[in-house]
Amino acid sequence: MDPNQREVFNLRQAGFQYIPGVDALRDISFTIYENEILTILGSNGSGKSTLLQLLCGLIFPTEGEIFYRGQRLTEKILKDREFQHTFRSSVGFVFQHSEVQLFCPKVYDELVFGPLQIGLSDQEAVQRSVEIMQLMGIAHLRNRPSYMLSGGERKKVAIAAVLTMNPQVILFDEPMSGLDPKSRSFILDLLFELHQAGKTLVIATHHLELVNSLQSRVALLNEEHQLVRIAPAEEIMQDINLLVQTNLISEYAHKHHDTVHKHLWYPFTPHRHDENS
Amino acid sequence: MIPPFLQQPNEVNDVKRKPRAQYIEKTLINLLRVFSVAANCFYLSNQKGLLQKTPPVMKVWLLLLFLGVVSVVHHIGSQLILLSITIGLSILSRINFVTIVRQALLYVLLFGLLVTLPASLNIFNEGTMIFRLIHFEHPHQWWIYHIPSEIGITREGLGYVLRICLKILNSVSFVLLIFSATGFENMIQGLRTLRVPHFFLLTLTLAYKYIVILSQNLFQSFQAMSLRYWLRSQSAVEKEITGGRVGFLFRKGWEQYELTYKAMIARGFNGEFKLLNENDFRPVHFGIGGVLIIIMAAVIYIDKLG
Repeated sequence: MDPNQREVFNLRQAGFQYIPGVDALRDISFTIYENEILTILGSNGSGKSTLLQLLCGLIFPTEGEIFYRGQRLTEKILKDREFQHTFRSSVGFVFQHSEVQLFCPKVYDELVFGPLQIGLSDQEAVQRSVEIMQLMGIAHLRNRPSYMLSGGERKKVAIAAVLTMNPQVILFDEPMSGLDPKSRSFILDLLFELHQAGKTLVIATHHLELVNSLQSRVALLNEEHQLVRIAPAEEIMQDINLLVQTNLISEYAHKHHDTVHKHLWYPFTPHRHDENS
Repeated sequence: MIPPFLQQPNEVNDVKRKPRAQYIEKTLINLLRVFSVAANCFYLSNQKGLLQKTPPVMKVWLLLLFLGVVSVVHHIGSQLILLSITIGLSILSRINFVTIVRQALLYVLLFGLLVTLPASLNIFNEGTMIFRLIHFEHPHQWWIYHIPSEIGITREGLGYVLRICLKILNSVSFVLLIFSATGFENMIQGLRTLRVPHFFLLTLTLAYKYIVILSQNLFQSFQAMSLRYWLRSQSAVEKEITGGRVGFLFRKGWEQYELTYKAMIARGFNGEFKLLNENDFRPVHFGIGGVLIIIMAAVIYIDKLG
């Protein structure tokens, strides 16, 4: 990492237990820098969503500490109006299940909700909503209630509802879950555009294709809810043993003509392009 | 790896099938109607009709005005004029008025006819008897009531019942018409102008969504259950299973809303709701409003003339 890059989040031996005695996360220490893409990679139940909620200040660590730009995140500091306003304006969270974050009567109301809560004027909130609707291609859904949207439409509206707040850091929890290939391609393009616009992206996923596409720094969690390694995507992807140990690839049964056999299935081969191509 | 029974064809025993608890199925089907009503309202509110083009704010005020006029006019002729206004608006808005009347009739029956029918008897209201029900040899006195020798329905009493029923029909059918042409979500937008607290409006929205989604989930859960359980054993067992499913869905709903609350906090909610106040009035809307106000005033004037 560039030593001049500013720290956004700093986790020091952070841990969390939903039920006392049952770890959801354990001894997590790493730093997130400004304008980077960090992928939190782990199998189901490894603690990815919990980690994102800790970063967003929705829950607080039962062990260790989390710092946001040098300020320790605690329940008390987030009750301070000024800090709360700054933090919520700067950090956005897109949930895995879009329906939980769509609570306004119509799509248009969802998009203006965030800007109004952080104190923007009606005019500015409307202006941002119109622009984001155009960006996401959802202008035709403006007056639709959220329970009448398809899965892909809900995901787009959920992302749009966060983007209208113009956060500098955006946390995505499984952004590709339940989406068809075209929608996935759209979301991937959007992620790259947001990164180019200077946003810091933290993406939780267990999809290796997404990791391969993003080629970002990867924080790998294991099934014991611990951070195993933090390294560039290429390094993680080439360590087949590590991916097997962390339940990210496994043996699959498949058929060749009349024969069914099993072997380790690595869904794609990482590739690179020469600089001149 | 596959157990032996799965490798054999399924033998269906000839068991006497007893009918399932129909009351549960009917209740769940009726619950599912909540979703279909919501979807239908959304569809109707997007038709190209007069009321659909009117801003929600204006429709809310129009509704209040109409209900006010219904309450102050007393003659049957005036109520019939108001009914014709409702029919006219539904035609111009491409909404089937027969469907609205059918929905309103239940309320007319419950809160109109059943409650006011005794008022048509000459025991409670004097008047010209048009239909005799009971004949006694001589009149009676019971408590504060003087019971005449003949009990029957009077013209004046019947007129009173008809007036009340028409008032209820007018009120309920106009409310249903406005809701059909507006949709729940747009009505919420309109209610903001009445200074209804934003907290209350958002709670209403969440409750409405919850009922719609819950009705879907309940029905799907019951369908899944009934695929594997179609023999009626003991009703206590059936109730336990059904109760368990309902309890599970409420628990699931509670967890969903915990997450929804977190999502609201993540988007800056700090206990005070701030919603958008927007008005999209155009001159034609004022024209429509003006015409309707004049018509209502004319109805009141005609009613006062008697």
